[in-house]
Amino acid sequence: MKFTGILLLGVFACFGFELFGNEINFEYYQKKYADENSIILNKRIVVSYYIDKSTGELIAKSKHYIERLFLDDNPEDNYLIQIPFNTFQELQLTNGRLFEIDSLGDLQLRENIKVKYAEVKDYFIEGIFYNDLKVKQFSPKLSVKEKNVLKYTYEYTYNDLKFLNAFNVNDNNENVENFELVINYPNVVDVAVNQFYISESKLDFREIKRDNSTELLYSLSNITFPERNQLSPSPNYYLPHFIVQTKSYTCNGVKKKVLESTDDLYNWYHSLINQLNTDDAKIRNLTNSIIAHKNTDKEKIDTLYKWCQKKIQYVAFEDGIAGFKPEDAQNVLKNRYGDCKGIANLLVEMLRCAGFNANHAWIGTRYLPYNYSLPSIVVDNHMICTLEFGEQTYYLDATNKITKWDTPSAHIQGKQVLVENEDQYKISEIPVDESSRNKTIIEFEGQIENNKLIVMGNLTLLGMPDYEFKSFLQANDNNTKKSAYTILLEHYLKNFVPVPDVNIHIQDYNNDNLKVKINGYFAGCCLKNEKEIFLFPSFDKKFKHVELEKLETPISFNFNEEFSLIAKIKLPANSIVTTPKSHEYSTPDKKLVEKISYTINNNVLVIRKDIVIKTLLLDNNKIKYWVDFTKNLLETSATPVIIKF
Amino acid sequence: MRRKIIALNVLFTVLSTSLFSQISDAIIKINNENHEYGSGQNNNYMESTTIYRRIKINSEYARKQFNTLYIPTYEDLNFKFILVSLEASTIKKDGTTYKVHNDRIKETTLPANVPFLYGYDGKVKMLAFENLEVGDEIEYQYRVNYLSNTSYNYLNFIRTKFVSQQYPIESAEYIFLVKNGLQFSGYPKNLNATFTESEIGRNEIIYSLKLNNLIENKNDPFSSAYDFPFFYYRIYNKPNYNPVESWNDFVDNITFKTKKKESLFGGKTILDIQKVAKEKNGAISKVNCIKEQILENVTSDVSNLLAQYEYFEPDLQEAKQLLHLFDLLGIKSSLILVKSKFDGDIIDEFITVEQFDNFLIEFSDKQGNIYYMYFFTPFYEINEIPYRYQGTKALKVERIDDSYKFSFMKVPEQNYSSNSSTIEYNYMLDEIDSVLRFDVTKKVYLTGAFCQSASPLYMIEKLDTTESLNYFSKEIKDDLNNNFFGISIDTIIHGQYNGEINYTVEYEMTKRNYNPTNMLSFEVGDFNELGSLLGTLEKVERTSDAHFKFPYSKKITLKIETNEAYSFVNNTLLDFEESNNIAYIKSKHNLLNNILEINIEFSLLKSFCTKNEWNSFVMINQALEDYLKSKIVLTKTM
Repeated sequence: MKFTGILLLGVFACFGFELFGNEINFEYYQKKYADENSIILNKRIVVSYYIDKSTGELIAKSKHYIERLFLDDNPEDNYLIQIPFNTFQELQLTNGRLFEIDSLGDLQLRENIKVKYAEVKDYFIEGIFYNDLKVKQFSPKLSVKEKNVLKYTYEYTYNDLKFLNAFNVNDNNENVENFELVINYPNVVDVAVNQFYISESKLDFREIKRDNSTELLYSLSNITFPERNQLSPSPNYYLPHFIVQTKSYTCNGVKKKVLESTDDLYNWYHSLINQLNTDDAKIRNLTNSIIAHKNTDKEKIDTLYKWCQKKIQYVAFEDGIAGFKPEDAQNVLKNRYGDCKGIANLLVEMLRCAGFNANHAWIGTRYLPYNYSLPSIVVDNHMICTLEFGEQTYYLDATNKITKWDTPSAHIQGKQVLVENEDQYKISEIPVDESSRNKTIIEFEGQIENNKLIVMGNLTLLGMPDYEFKSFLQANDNNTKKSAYTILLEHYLKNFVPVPDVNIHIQDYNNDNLKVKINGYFAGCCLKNEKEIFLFPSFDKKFKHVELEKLETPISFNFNEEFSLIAKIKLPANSIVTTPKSHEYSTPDKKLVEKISYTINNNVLVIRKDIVIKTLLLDNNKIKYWVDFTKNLLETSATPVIIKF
Repeated sequence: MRRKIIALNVLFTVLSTSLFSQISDAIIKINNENHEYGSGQNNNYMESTTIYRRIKINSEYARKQFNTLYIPTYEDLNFKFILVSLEASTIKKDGTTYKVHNDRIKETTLPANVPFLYGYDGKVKMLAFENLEVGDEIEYQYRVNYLSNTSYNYLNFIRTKFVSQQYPIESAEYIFLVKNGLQFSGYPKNLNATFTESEIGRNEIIYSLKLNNLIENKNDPFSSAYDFPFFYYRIYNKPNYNPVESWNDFVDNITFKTKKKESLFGGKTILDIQKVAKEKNGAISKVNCIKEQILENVTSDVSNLLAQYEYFEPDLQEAKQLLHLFDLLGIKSSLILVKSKFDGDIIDEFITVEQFDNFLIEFSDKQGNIYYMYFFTPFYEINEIPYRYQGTKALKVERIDDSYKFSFMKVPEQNYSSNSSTIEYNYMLDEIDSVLRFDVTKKVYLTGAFCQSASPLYMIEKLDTTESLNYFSKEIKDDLNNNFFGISIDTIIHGQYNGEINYTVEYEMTKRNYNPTNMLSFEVGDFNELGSLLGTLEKVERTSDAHFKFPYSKKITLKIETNEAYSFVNNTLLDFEESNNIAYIKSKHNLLNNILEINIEFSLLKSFCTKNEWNSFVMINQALEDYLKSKIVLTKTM
């Protein structure tokens, strides 16, 4: 059976522009969202599948109806609405109207916005131009004021259904009062709708089966945007969203797959790799010249990896945010820049030329919460090179300019990776560092003088903390590098002031660790009167931005790690010292551990604090662990050692 | 043994080139700008600019900074910017050149997400330099034509060109070619070079300025762009615009006569104000009356008031109107053209009113006492002069009989202590249901420059409308808010405003992340705003003097009380004093009947410090920062 034209079933309800009635209790919303300038009153997305008459291919449209209520005057003269699209979609703006709520709560039209004159603009993300990402933008001629409602509709057409995927409830930090996602599809289409972070208690779901079609209706209300904190993961880990997966469809009795399984996803990725036209001779010549004097395989791998890290700059222009095909290796070589796909491809080709078993691999960084149980292109946002060497698989990401070849970057650890293997593929998981590989050690000896604790010692960084600091240096200019010592200590130590005229104290800077001399004083850690000194052991900034209140998102950590602080403080002669009790706290799952001990030997007070993190993510169910853990940290730094004369 | 040598070499290389190198990230070896001025088609003005740069890339950071080149072109009602040509190459260390071919030059729209540009309809040509590595050089040249409407006054105004950049420049040349009767004049500042003039053809003259070895411009919040090398220049069309040749010519062209029916500052007419002011006795009363008449319009609503304070650009015509009004009222007055001390000195030979950024009016009473009035942000009292003009060289224009005379003068200075801020905080601490809260009363008394910067806010509050009170309340809240406490304001009480401000705010603070324990510990900085006064400063080798907004004296009294559930632990470290020739800090505390009182005084004694004094300034600032971390501790007694 042929489907022609848009499926109208269930769509009629949306054609009337007024979604949920006109009357709006402005004061109610103003009170409810006192800190907001505007909210989304209603957002409705209707996805409809149909067969294109001319090509016989299944395509889809998603129509978006937005009603934004302004709770405050918009400070800008022009209120700009920007709707993104990429070259795999067509975007049509269909309607835009600005209303004002009158004294009866009814809407009065202020302006019929000429959306057909919307401009098409290119978009830059963090200064990088993506040649397939654009926006259409328009703005009302009138300035937008309190009690205004802006309604607009737009429609995407997806000619390639792989690009019909994610629909977010909240965009751009906005609170949404009512949300609806409607999906209409002919019964010859196999569609799955995957829900992420949708609260079942808030969701109203209906499925309407008809003779030839099915309608799925998802309704949500009162979806507020959670407040982020310093350790919040990417919003993909907590914002409610849907991912639509078009598995397959049957046309003229023939089943056509879109993305039914990971096989389909891989087949498409691999077809793009097969289109590459590598100049083997050029790559081989260069590879041979780079590793000419290297004797062992490890040296060769190390040299090629470092060459790519150093010589190839990450991105001048992206070939496309939605592009999945890498640039040919010889072009990256010629340009000396490339995006992740281009750099990964060059490294794969160079390692292959050197005789190693290297392959392309697709991965979603830890920015994305998905794995390959969901066969969708939203799962991936990065490409790396894998290397089978000895008995192990290594994951090489030369866009990271600091890590060693045998150490996967922190932002991909724990994630599934889809590894090329001719017509086959392999899914594996990138190993997560043991906490003992990533260490921060602060050791010093000191004595109290007035309100200052004057100290000398060392700060040592091993593994990821070391890489993080080197990455920071690498990304910054020479003036910043001159202040590296101050910046480093400022990052780790609380209220620490380096001694005047301090010069370079970084003693050792090699591939394995960073060791820095600590020489200065801690300000304000003491209270002193005629009888006693209170010494507050608040020397470090580990988890300085602890939050006990308003924890509305999960908590994420960059890597597993261990942190130790050992302070040896010379006590005044003949003093009587009262220390807090040594104690140990760990969460029930033993993933977060804090130990603090106080000992006195030969008139020297030793305070030792150890923190161990063995998890990358605490979901909302484990937030209470974090609260207890941070309460302990706070109490430790707020409880003084009392030294009586 | 050999291994060790390699390791040491690696270490040395890393330390010397990667971490602590004194080398700049990039060196601009050549920076040449060629500007041609003439007429385009349809008699519109055309400026054709050719930029040629050659830059040595010394670090990864610089490679990232310079590996792409973006040239925007756009047009609006008055302008059309057209890119005529563009060439770019990478020059490797061995001299090999990689030219960026035309098919590698991409074009996009002006980016949608750059606020300044999204309103413009334009394009960006962009390219990436090929095969660029650290140690290589990039070279590019492009030519842009700027076409302006004949109706738009593209020429005839003063422009400023800052010649030093973020990176050192080995060689720079600025060439201005004027044709068809157009004229050029240029005035270098902070430079040991002058423009040379050469005629190259009929009606074509070249002016060029050659510069060598310009140090990098280390701009920071305490420096002014005008401390670094720059030049003013002006292209003008002589038949239409005849610049005066001397200050005598300048004053000859001045007249203080204006029409009586002209409106002053968009409000009442000169005649109307004259009618009211002439009823007052004495020069002071009359001038105050003028100010009130102006303020009546300015303070009519919040947006008007803010516009007057923040966006107002003084106009010579308004100065003339005021002087005319003074004349009508029989008050002897002169015009003083002033320039902010943060924008460099006056160039005596640069004869233009555009050098100045504001005006004062000097007037005298019958006894011959001299007063100054700053009308252009009309919240000032008589003899209150904005700090940025105090002590500067200014141009005075006075009328003697029917002619005008000029002279240079020094604007009077005021003592630092006249800029004072006195704040008394009363904190009452309590813990209810595991919430630690303080009831706070904050009494503020401001004079001098503090008063001037706060006066529009205060006047907004006096408007006494819902909008103005909301605005005032929000501003006060923003001023109080910090990361340590949540704040909600109860009441705001104000006193009189007569060149001084005093008001009282009552509010409640609740401690964030409060974890009830047997001991409460705070820092002095938690209870006042001194911590944000200067921020953390670093000892550095400055390339310019450091300017402060104004010298001042800040006095803060903290009084913290609690109930018998808590008891303060005495901290003798709260008594503290330190000073040098730039600033002074003193703190005294008193603990009596479980009430802690701390009196803090911080005075910034100078308006600026020299490059050599900077580290002394950093040290006194560090002492203040250290002091603000001093502990205030209470223990639970039950």
